[in-house]
Amino acid sequence: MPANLADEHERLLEFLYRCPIGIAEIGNSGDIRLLNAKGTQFLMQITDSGVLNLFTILAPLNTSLQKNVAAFHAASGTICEEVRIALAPTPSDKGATHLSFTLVKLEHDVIMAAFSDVSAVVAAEVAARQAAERDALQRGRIETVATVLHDIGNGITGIGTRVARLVAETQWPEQNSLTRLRSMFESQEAALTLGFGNRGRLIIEMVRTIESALMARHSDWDATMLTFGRAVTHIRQIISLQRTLVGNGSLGQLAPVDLMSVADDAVLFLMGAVEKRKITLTKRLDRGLPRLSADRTQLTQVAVNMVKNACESFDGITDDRTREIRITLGPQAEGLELRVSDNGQGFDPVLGEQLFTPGKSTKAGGSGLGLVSCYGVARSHGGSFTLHSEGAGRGAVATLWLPLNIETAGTS
Amino acid sequence: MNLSFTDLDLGGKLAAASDAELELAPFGVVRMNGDSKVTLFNRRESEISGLSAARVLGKHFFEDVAPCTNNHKVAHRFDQPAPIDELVDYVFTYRLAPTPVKLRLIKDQEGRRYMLVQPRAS
Repeated sequence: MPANLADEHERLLEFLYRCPIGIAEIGNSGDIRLLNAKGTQFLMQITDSGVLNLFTILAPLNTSLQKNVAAFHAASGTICEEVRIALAPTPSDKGATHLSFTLVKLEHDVIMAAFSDVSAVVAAEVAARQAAERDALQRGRIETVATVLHDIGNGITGIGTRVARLVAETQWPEQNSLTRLRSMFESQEAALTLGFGNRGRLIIEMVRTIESALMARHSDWDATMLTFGRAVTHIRQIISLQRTLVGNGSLGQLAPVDLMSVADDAVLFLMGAVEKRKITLTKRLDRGLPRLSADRTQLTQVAVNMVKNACESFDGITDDRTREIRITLGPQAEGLELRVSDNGQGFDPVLGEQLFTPGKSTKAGGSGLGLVSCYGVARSHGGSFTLHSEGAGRGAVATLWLPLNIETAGTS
Repeated sequence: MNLSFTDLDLGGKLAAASDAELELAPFGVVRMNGDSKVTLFNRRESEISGLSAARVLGKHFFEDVAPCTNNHKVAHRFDQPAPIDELVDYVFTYRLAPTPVKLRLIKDQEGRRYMLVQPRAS
């Protein structure tokens, strides 16, 4: 071979050898005739016994390539494309976790195999699937909460109606009858004394005693019913509020909302709580941001919840740290982001996952519905709500993100 | 000097041998410095690999010359403290054709690294 041709040959060889995907020529039975460096690296990750037969190497993992080759009868053509094979994890080697194989038959008993590392793609797909599952789970939880609230609401309404009727019942007929009986006995006292002697007087005394006992019981009853009535009304208010917040993923009245004023309102609303705890509150709200078409009441409730949580995060803190809450509002990824961060008690990030579960709370006396509501409102506005903490004692960050173009998620 | 692949004190012999002697060894010799850069690539190794010494001298052997050996079976063995002298059954894919070889990996106290190559039946 002439020198320059030999040089070209060597260059070509090196080019194929160092190609960043695995390339191999195999025969029908999987015997490897040519294999480049990347291919060797991939296959050496699977086997220690030498890279001599592709099917033998892959047999413990997956036999689909072998089956595809056996089932392919045309003289040439693509046997299979992008067949993924999961590799057994090798903790010592941070190698590929998934390879993708494409086999092309060039001629009889000559197959070209190209294979590449698709670990990152697989990892991204897995992450996306998990995120979708988490979201579905979250929706399921919110639907459960909405259903439970709806059912409790109906039950409470029934109780309320009954209690109202009992409260309205100012006259008891049996009490009136007794009063009439007592008056009759009193007017007939002389006749009774004549007929029954001293016992006639005793009968009258007895009826009087029963009558006054019944009166006392009636007034007791009224007071109890009033208390019941007030409690039922209170429960109905709470349930009604929570139902608005959790919703069925639905929105109330949509109107252009200035998030800055929403944030201002929330702070104003909680100024007492902030001052009582000697918290330094700083706001950095971008001005001139676009208004969002949103339910102002719901957003205000979320903002209040965020600031309230931040305030309450200092309640378990006994050290003399400077207590800080920072509120920022600004544009973020085709939307607006309201962020409330504190340096309060925070929480274990593992627990953070559970905080969106109805009934979970890190606060003594917390209902565990606040965050679920926030999440529900964010979702019904097409946005997101997250709560993050680096760990117990290290503060927390609540983030509400809303898209500029809100698509309503459901109308019922 | 008569160099034999299976010599018990091959490391010592290699260190004592001149470059010309290594050049004529009956097995493939790749000598690297402490940074795995090739300082000698003998005639037999050129035959086995299809690579000319001129093309590989001064290059990082495991990254730029033979990435198919950049793994725990070969390259990573050199990360162990000297001295090492190990035999490894391996399949080279120089010239893209899988070739079963026996490798002897030697690292001496002076930091010289040798990869010695002997083709074997599969």
